[in-house]
Amino acid sequence: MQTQTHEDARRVCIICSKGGLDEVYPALILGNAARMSGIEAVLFFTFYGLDAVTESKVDHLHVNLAGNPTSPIPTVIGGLPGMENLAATMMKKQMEDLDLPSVREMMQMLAEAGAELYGCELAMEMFKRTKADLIPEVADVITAGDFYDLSEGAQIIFT
Amino acid sequence: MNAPAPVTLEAKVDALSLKLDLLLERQRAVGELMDESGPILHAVMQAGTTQLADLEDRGYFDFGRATLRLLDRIVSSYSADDVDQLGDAVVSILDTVRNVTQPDVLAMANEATDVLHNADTLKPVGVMGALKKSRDDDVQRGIAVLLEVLRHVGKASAAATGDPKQRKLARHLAPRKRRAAPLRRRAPSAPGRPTSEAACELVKAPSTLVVPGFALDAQGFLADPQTWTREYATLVAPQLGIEELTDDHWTVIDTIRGLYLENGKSPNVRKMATASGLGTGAIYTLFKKAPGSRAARIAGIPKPVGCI
Repeated sequence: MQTQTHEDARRVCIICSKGGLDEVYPALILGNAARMSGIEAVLFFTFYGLDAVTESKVDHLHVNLAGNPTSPIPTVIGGLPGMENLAATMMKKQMEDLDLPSVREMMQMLAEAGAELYGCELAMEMFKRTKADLIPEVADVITAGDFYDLSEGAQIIFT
Repeated sequence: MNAPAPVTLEAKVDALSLKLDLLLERQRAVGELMDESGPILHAVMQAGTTQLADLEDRGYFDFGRATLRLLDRIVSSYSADDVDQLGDAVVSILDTVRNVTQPDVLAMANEATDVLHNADTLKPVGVMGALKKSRDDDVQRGIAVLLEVLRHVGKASAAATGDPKQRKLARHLAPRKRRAAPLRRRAPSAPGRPTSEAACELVKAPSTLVVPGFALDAQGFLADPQTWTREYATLVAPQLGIEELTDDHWTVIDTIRGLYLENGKSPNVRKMATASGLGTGAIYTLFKKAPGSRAARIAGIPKPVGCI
């Protein structure tokens, strides 16, 4: 894109507030696609989105089966113990077959591509986590006010 | 000369005789003392030896010898430093001992040890039996006591390891600080920044790439990938902001051309990173912004599609 040689390129700030396996991918894919197009990207993980950047949880995200109108499995069965694990494992396998990267791998790609990852301070206090509990790709833990400072002049996407 | 001499001599002799008398007197006194103390000493010796024999019979000396052996083992196992450290802790050790020897604690310990002693008389209980037994008041009180003990042990162990939660608590209690300056301020929109309409134009904007002898499509990709040459890459790269094509650049270019010719599809950034073995970070460093498209333009393959 030699036509985009000026320095003030587009900037996009994406908020990820959900922690389901199917709910974090929109934010991550938007972030990655932004970087691939040369757009600066900031990702802000808050509430259950914090699970996607927590070392102990990032490999164990689940899909909500109960009360999910788009789930192929009826709630009665989806609510049984162990079904969520099973569904998550099946989904992960499908993703591997499609060569879709895991959440952890997406985070590594995003960080290496130059996207900035941040955790939400309020969510950290709610879940009683420290920066040491997060994956190394997270740059810092910031408040909503800091997020607004970062997103000056940028487009904010809420997922 | 002779007159003073006999005076001093006499005086000396007198003094000497006086001393001798004293000595003799003393000697006599000592002799009397010995005579009188003889029987007393004898009696004392007798009593002393009887007493010692008695102690020996009662096992004091054996005990003493064993204690000395024990002491010897302790001294040879520990160093002086250990004893010093023990000294530092001795107050808290004594406190603990005092707590443990309180009558109520001792009573509890006695009860517990009694039960343990008679453990063979108890019948085994399963989960349901345990639930039933826990309805007893005493059992419930015992459970409460044990849980409280566990809580204190946990608290002590957290204090010992410098639990991060404790530090977090301190941070909560300290006054909250606002960040001194905002994290990062980008300059507000500069003139010439694309608006949304203009941004769409950019994507579709006709490319201004010029490569003599080669036909390009509207967006600057080589129209016919088969006509690519290495010279084409060296001509295109500077126009796209890459001054020089290093070996790493060529590795990537060759890899993605190979993948395109093999699959008929241009690889996305992820495939570029893994197939060339350089990793995502290197790809972004080598080909800067929009590395997938930039490398595709240089390598004369179509623009990659896909979200990953």
